Amino acid sequence: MRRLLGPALVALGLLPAVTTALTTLAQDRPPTAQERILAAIPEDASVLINVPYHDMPSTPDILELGKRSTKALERCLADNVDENVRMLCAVVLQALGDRRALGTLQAALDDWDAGVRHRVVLALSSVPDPSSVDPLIKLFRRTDEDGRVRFAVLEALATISDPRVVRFLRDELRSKREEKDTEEYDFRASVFDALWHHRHLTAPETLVGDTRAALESDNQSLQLAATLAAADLRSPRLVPSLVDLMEHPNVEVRNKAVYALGRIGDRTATKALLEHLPNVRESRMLNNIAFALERLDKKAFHATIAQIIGHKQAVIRLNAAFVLGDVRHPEGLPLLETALGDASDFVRTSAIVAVAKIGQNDAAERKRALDDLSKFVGDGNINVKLEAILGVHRLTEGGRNDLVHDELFELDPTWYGEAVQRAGLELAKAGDARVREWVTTCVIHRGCSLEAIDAWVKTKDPEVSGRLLLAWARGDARLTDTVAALDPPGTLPTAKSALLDATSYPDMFRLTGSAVLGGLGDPSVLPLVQEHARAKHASERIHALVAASRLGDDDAQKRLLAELDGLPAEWLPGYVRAVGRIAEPEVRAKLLPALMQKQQDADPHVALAAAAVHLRWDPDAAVFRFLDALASPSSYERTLAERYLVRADERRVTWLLRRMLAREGREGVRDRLRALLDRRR
Amino acid sequence: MRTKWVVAFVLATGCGGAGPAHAAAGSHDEPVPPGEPRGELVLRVDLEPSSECEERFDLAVYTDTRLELVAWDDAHGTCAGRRVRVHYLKAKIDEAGVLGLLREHARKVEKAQP
Repeated sequence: MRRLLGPALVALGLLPAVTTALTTLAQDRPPTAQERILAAIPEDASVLINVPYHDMPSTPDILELGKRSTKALERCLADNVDENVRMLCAVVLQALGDRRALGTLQAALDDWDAGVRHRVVLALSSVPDPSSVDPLIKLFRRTDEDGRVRFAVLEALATISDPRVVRFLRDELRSKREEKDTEEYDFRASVFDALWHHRHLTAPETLVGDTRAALESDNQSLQLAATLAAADLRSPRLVPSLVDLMEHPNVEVRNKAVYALGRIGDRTATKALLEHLPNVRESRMLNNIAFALERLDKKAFHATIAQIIGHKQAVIRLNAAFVLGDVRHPEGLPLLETALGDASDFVRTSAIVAVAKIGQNDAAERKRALDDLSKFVGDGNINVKLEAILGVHRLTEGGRNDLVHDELFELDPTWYGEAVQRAGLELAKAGDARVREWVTTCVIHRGCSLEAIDAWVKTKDPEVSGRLLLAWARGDARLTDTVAALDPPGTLPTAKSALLDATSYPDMFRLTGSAVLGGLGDPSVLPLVQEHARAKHASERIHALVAASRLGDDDAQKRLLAELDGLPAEWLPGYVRAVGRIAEPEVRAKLLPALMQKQQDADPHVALAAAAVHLRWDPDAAVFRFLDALASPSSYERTLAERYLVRADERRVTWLLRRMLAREGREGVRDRLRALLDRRR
Repeated sequence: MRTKWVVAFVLATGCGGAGPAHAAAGSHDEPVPPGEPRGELVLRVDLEPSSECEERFDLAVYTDTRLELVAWDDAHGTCAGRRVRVHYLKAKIDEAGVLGLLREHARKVEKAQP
């Protein structure tokens, strides 16, 4: 026995080394076929020609290579005999948006497989170019072409602003329907949509004429698209056609027609709207008509709403109260005071909400509204009581915290969950210490938005900060920027450990670990983030490059700018979010000149991504590049600019958009600005 | 004869003024050089009540290019008692001018503590 003890101890001692050796051997296994192919893509343009579908690397893996994969993908599309592989290559080319592939994509419009042609056409829509117009139109006109390919052609043509496209689309819109054109192959709605993208190339009168023809057509989808266009165009010439649509069998068309009438604001529609009211059977229609009338003829509106609020059906009275509150006319107050005595609790609740809104108009109305609402703070119905208390609280500018707390927040959440939640959020807004624990738990458990704890984030409350750090370390990525800004004790070692211990990609800590470390400003972690700045995955690399740049690494700043040219177009919004995090003025100052230059890049994806980073840093200065883009001759650039402006949801951007709209004299830009502002309401 | 022309002029300008303000065709918002002197006013404003009172006010006052920005408080959706910071171009309009301009489009405008 003793003889074996020595060798056993030696074996035991060697065990860790043997385990490590075995692990290393496993890691040094020969690469799979997919890995070999993936590694060769940037170097060997012919590598994908003979690859069968089951050996193809995955789409995200190819995209990680960025535009270095374009050449191989082009050869794949031209020469691989497997249509599924060609389709996949076209999908990746679409995501890349690399103009160098234009010629290959155009040639692939002749592919024998309809699925490949479909993907190729969609890929052409991400690199819009006038040279694609004729081949696309030719493809659309082939009578043996697949329906989905033809729809995709219209989508692609919507991105190419060219007079030939406008002529073709207008001809198609007005072309005579043939018997074989079933609803499935009726392209007119898509044609109209594409034409709408190029409205800046069409004379206003022509556009109004086309819209009117679409409103009067026999195709519901086309009519619906035209009602939306009419709301933007706001031409009184469209009023008669819209009035006719108020009787349309499709509820969406009916509602959008009334909405458009309200937006146009032409008084000739008043009579038709008033006549239609007695026939209304849905609340949305009622509200739309009421809002339209309020814009068109206030006197007619009040006479009508006075009747509706006394309607025999409670649901109609409820909606009338809602409308009165929303328009905030003081004349509505007496009508609402009558509704406060309604037999229906739902109508009373709606009236209370409306009275609270009108009470915000001025001091006299506030006093009257407070008197009205005070009578309901002890009501037996929880909804009436809830709205009355919250209404009183707001009208006293947050002066009734105790009432909100004692009468609502203290209720049993099992039975009164909504009341407790709304009371808690109201108190949290005021920074009431009694709800601090509750609202922090609510945020951490994702029952409340992050803004709910603003009061404690602003004061860097240590207890809230500590809990948020723990929640972030458990994997809540929403808290990344907040944790970096709060920097509670232990943040640096926690974030460092999170990055060190992150498992393989896509472990979120490979991104958020760097993001927090970059925000803390401690240069001791620079070597760690620099290591991740060499990662093969683009998102990990970019987050690390952002962090290294913030920590003063000049080389990382150069590499960060270079990434902008190589990334797939579809990934650029993610780049904008990551680089937008840079808050250090000296780092911004170093990056800005190159970003300003990139804003003039010939590739609109790159140009507008650079502008979008600038918009995050300095909206007042950056917004003018977007104004230029909204006035661009290219509908593609206009649409891209709109997307970035929609994502920039800061209130300051809203104010700047209003200023731009007020000063805008180009109709084609005005309607886009108006639509952007409508979306932000 | 002269009176007739004066009446015609008043009617013409009156009709024009009643319509919504629109920017001249082709004109658009433009950046102001950073070196241009700016002023700031902190105000308390009661707006004309409506569901879009803040936006309507902005669209009306921004037609005057001497105003640079109206920065609102957080009481979004409320029309009375709003606190705003108004940035304007000092070389082109003075404080009294700004107040007069804003009062054309609001129920009440008064200076507030910064």
